[in-house]
Amino acid sequence: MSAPSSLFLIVEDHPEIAENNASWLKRLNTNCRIVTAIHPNQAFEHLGVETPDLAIVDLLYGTMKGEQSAEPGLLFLSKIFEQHKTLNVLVYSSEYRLLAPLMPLIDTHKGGFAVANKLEQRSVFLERAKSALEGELRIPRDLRQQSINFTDMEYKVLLLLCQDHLTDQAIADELHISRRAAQKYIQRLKEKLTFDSIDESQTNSRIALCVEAMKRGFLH
Amino acid sequence: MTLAKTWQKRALLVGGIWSALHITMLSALSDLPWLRNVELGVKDALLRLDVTMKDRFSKQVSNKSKEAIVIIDMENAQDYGLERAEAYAGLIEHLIQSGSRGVLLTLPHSIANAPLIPDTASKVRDKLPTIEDPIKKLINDRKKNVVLATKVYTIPRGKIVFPLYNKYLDLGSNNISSDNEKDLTDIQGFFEFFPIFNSKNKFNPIRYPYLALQDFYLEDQVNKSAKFISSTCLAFKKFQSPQTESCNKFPGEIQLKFLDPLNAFNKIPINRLCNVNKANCQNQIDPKIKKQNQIDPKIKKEINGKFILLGLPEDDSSYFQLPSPFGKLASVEMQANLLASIIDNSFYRVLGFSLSFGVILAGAALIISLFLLISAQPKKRLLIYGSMIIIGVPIIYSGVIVLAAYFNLILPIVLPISAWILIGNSTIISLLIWRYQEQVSQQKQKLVERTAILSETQKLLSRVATDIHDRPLQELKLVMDRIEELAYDGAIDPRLLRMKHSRIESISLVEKLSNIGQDIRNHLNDIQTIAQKKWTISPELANGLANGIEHRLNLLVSDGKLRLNVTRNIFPLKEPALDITWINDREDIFRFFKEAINNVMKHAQPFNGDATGVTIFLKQEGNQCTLMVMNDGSKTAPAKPNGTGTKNMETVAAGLPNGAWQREWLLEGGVSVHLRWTMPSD
Repeated sequence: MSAPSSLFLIVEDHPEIAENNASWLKRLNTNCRIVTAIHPNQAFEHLGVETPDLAIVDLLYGTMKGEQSAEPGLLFLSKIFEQHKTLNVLVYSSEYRLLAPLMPLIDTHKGGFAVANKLEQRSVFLERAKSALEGELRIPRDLRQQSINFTDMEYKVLLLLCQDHLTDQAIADELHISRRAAQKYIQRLKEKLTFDSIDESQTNSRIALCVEAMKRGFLH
Repeated sequence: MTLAKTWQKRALLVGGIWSALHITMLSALSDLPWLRNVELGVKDALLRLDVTMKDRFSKQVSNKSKEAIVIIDMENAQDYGLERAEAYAGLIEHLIQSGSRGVLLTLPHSIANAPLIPDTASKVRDKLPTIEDPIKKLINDRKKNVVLATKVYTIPRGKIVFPLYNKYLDLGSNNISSDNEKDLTDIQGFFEFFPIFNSKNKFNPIRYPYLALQDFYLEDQVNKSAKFISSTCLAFKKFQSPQTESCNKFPGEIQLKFLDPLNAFNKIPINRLCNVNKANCQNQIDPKIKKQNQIDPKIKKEINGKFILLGLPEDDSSYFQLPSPFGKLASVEMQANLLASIIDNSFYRVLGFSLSFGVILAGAALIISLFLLISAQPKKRLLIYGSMIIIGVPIIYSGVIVLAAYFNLILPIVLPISAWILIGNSTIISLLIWRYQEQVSQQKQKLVERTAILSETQKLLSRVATDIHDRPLQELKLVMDRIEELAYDGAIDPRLLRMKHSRIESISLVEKLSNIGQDIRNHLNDIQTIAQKKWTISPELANGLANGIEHRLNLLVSDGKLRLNVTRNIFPLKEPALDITWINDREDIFRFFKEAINNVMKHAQPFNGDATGVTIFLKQEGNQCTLMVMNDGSKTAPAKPNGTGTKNMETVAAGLPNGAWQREWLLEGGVSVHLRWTMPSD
């Protein structure tokens, strides 16, 4: 049984990179439909027509002066956070550190948000694309700086996890959400507390998460 | 000499303006009594020195004048009845008969104010024996041999009044007319040493005798005036040289030459002239007795041909003393010194106000010119040479003053020397201030030029980084994609797409390319960071590294970020003000310090550490400088003390001249970080 058809929006001004992005995304979902925009303005117009399952966005775009500018890319993301709050986004750029000013908006974005370094292997690209499609938040450690912004729901989950020591299911029941949604919140907490070690056992990683939250003053 | 630099011109201009202000200010201050006293004291010392020098070395002091003058010492004059007119007149007659040139006298108060002995007419009327007033008789009989020194006085509106002794003169009436005025002015002269004559001379109201012919208002006839000559001049004219002009030459700008009182004039005590037991001096005017009192030949020899100066007895109410370089002298001694100067025609000349001002201006011009010559010297030499000028010019002038005094010229002392010292100091301060401003300005100019060059370089770097990002890196990405596709699709044996990484490990080509790409990317980021860096002097470093460190520490403590006890051993460094390389190095050293103190706050300060204090040490010895930051925490050395901070510190040390840094974990606990470097010379 083939996977349901997905719509991917690629925003990339380098035609060959865009083409390769599309090629690799097809490996994620062979039935996908891919729309490519060579400039954020064009992509934003397209968002008015249809909502993709995932937008793959480059940050740097060539200007009339022949230089590279992050302004169009960052502006485009700001508009997404404002007008397409549930859109899943994968930022695919070697200059992902430029996202720093948008971190508060990224942390509160309701859709999936992942960042992949363009200079890393495509396997990373595919993994992050998948995370974003699943609504997860995946931010490189060096981008995650001092500012941590929890949503109300994330903070409730943190308290239930670390103060009441509830399981995923108990948290889901307490908050009247699905177990998967609860796990998603826990993943985002780990992400925001720069604790994304997936190799460790669940129990240890949760204890580590709570210790980190306590160290940073979120818990008393 | 042409001044190449505007700042030197400005500094000297300001120095000149200050000079003018100082001269004006001091001229105004010269009226102050204490300043006059200082000037007077110094001049008195100078004149004493001059007299001593001339006595000892050149024998300039003429014996002619000394020997020509005899002072009659009137001490104990009352023992000889000299308070009475008969005795007093007898004494003078005695002196004249002894062959003296003439007698210059000041009438004692007791005689001058005594009623006239009734004249012949009244005696005839009253049928009494005819007795003529002895003073009146003496003056009329001995007109050619007597001069009366008369003290003048002022009345409101500044009029100077001349008391007349017309009661002793046969003037026919009390009124002075053109016919009898000469009789009066031939007998009476004014006493020269009186402050009212010297009101124009602000320095020395007493020591400058006034000799010029002067109009006076006559006592009891204040609307009428007559010209009188100085009594000493009158005596000289009458007794020696009627045609002399010497007394009219000096309009009050001379200074008397005093002789050392211990070795001055011949003084004959009164007891040698008058017999105290029998015939007192009054007998000299009685022809019957006169023969019985033959004049002692020895005294006659002493008196013969001499100017006789008759003073006042000390117990007379008119007796007074006047200050001189040799202490206070009786008025008769002042007259003797004056007469000696007139006889020798030898006075000190005193520079008038205009010439004195000229001397001050000339000195000021000399000082400013000398500063002009040294203005381009380095600061240290400027200070040394400047001090030499400030001290040297007054010293040389002091020598000129002594030399001038030797040649009978008295130069102003306190005012010019004070003015020159002030001018010198003002000029050197102006030069230093302007030099500093010029240095700051040059520093800014150099920085602007450097910033412009940097800006261009930064643009170039930025463009290169952008180009590498746009082309080679994108190409690299495409190659990586292609290789990954081949591996992913199984088109090539994945083992062929691997390369040796180490002796036992291999790595995929894509991973390798990814690492290379990331490395390139990191370097490009560094380049962009450099390209975007603003190159400016940290404001807190504008006043030197030591100030910058102090400022930073104050800020950290006041913000509560640094909570340890801070011990500061921070000494200013001798920083080369214009060395751009040093200015950049200083920024790096400051960054090193910030890194070190941040480490202390982060690792040694509670709660992360247990240190209680931190010591900051900054000192220069010779051209070697040391910066040390040391805490007393007990933290042990980490296994691998590396990180960005360490790398930064290494980078800073490597960039400094002879730079080296060291971090030590102390046995007694705590960590010290040392940075050493060589300070470039100025």
